[in-house]
Amino acid sequence: MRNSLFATPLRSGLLFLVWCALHNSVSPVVLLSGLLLALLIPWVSRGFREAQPQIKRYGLFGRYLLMVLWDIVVANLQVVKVVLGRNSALKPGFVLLPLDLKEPLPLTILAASICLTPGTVSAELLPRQADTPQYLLLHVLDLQDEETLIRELKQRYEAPLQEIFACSV
Amino acid sequence: MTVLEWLISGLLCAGALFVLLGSVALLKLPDFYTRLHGPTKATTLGLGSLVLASMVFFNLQLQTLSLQQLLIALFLFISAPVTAHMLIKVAMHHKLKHYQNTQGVDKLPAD
Repeated sequence: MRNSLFATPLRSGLLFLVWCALHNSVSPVVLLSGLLLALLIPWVSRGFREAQPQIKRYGLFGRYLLMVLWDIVVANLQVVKVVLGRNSALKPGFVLLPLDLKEPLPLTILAASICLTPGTVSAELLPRQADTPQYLLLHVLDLQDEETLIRELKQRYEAPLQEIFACSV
Repeated sequence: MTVLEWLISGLLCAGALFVLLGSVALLKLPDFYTRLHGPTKATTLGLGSLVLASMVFFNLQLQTLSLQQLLIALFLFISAPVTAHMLIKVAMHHKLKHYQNTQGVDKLPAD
């Protein structure tokens, strides 16, 4: 099953839709080539596939996406404010965010959300040590209060992702 | 002008403004790490507005179905964080100078 052409129906469907949207038409030649590619690409790249946790709660995931979109708008206005201010008033900083998430896919989504939203860029995933949790190193454009920022990020982004993927933590 | 035209013009202006501000950030901010914030944030919203304007124009004004703009937005949102992540990793690896006010420099990995 793992090696068959139809092992990942969701991915094939998505590829097919993207292909049609890319051509902006549903002529037979587009449909046929799309079908071919949608089946062949996942099959060719099957060796790279890793088992990922599934999204358990789609409704919550949709709400999370809307929230991130709204946060992007807010974050942009904040960055604009900082950019137009004086450089000497700028307080950039590095912050370590302790992580509860473990799986690669939720971590990727978390890092991307952090990167797109509140004046932060994710810099490095520090490996787990024996006595400390896994950390995500962030660069913050305008760091006011480290504790508050960490608490907000964990509440706003990490907690919903844990629920969406129903992680055991 | 119709309402739609006003809407499209407003979105285009907002988009252009945000892209411009993102570029100003690149020019003005003091070090590599802070400059990185310009293109990842301001430009996403700027490009988002431009894409939205394009969608409104083609789908509502011209009444033709056009979905490519959605793909532009999708690829942008996937690729921008990854690029920023890679760039800042390289910057840390090369130990680029940070701005004097930077806090928490001791948290950078030793190597």
